[in-house]
Amino acid sequence: MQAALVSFPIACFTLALLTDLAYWATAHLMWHNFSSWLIFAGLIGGGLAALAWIVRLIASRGRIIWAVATVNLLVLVAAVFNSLVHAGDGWTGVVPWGIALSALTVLLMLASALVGGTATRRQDPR
Amino acid sequence: MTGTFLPRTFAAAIGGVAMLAAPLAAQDGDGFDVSSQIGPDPVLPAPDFVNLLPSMKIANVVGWQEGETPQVPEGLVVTAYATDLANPRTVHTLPNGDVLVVQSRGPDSAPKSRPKDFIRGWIMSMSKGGGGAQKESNLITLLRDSDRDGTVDDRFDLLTGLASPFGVAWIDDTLYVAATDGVLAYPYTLGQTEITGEPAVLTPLPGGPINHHWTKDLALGPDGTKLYASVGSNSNIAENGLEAEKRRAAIWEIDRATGASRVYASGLRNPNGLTFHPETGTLFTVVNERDELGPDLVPDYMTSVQDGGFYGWPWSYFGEHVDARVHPERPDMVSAAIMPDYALSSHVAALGMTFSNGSALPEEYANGAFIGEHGSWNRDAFNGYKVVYVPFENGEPAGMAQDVVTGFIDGDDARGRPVGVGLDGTGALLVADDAGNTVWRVANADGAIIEAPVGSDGGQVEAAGEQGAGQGGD
Repeated sequence: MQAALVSFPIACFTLALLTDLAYWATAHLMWHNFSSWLIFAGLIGGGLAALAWIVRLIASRGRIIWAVATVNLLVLVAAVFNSLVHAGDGWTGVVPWGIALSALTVLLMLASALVGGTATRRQDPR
Repeated sequence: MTGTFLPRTFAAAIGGVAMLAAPLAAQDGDGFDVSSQIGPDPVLPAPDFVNLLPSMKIANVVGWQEGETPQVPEGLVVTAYATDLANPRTVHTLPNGDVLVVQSRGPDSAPKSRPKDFIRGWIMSMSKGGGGAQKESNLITLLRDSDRDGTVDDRFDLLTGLASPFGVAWIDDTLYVAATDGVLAYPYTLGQTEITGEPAVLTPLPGGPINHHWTKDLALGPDGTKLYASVGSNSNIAENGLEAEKRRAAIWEIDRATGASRVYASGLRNPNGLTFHPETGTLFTVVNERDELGPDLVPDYMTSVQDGGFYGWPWSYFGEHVDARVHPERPDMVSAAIMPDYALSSHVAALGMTFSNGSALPEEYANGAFIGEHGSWNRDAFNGYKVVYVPFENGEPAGMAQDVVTGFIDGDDARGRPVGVGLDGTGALLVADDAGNTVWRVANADGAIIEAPVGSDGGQVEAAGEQGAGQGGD
């Protein structure tokens, strides 16, 4: 369940970086709007995934990998700031801080995947 | 081992985030001196082009209780001229002393293209008051003070079902109405209490679907042959694309005979209160400047308007101060920008202006301009929500703005919000209060009135009338 929810923000935030780059290259407003909506949708998906995580935590089912949880929290925080930057009007709603935050969000998601993979291997040797 | 990243680290991350967010919430409230932005040379702090949480404070509209009125300084007296109106925006006096009150609500046609548009629409709805069933607006009501005692004796709804009207002008038995999508011409003889004829469209004006700044003001030119219409921008800083801004953020000159129009002046983000100076014949306007650069940027302003003048929007503000949010950069446009005459301070939302010359008000208001300030939202402390007076000398602003009509704000609530201003047929000041649904009359406390009514269209009507009589030979 949680895994399915997590795929939404991963897809949305990754695409937002691409649409930001497209806006940077073309100055076409459509890409700015795409980014705003993708970040917004990613935050909703991410929020639901976080809720599912908390429910699982309370139910104490499964192990909690705190490293992954922390990095995932940072992903959402970066995305919240990014949505505020993108709410700005015009060029500076994306360039440079919008793109920077979109890139940071993607890097944090990669870090989460790496940490998660490592932690899983360490705890659960097959 | 899970010990490498303990819950403590997780908690620390949350704490760090909270610390990061704290300065955002407290980004101002630094006691900026608003009066330093009033006059020809305003203090302009550094702009915040990236504003994570634009400061915002919206007054909840509560309306006026029985017996409540705004406040005026000594020497003046304020009374309710007309109540139970439906969002009165402007007042216009005809040469016989009848007062037209234009009441309107903005069109609700703008497509929402960003998440922000939804959130913003919800927040802004608070500042408009009402809730529940509201009276039908978009009409023009005639108020008649037959015995010239400063109270309205008769009231007639002259035109109803208009498309968000704002400005009006009258000459040659024709009433011109600036609806949000065009200037309409109605046959209308002074004294008539109803209009039944269909209007002619003199010229279409840029309307929907976005129509961000929808108020179109109107003024009759000094020689009586031209009309001047204000057309506000379709965005804050052209974030809907420059294509949406064609012939917007401008004042148009419209030929009365043919309807032909040209852009008289441009780069004026949201101009309103078009008025010709009674002595010099120069066109003046008040302009709402851009938002989301911080609570103390950009000052709204009053300025004389030069034929062909360009005043900076969207590329720069207050002369050559570049707005980095607008891309691509246009240094050529920035260097062409004219610095406006007189700043009114940030986010006051000046929407109405009239010259005081020839009024029956006390001597200290003999030569200057009254300006209606609708009030701020993009600040953490209210600014505006009052009518101010700027003294003039030799046809130019000279001196500090003084508060004339105040008391629209009560704590965090707004009883009303002033918009258009004008002089009535007795030489008193009228203030249209769109949130309080009232027109206020501010008169000389000694009861003085002028000898005969003077229309808001000024001396030009008289001159053109004489000319017309000469030509007609009667």
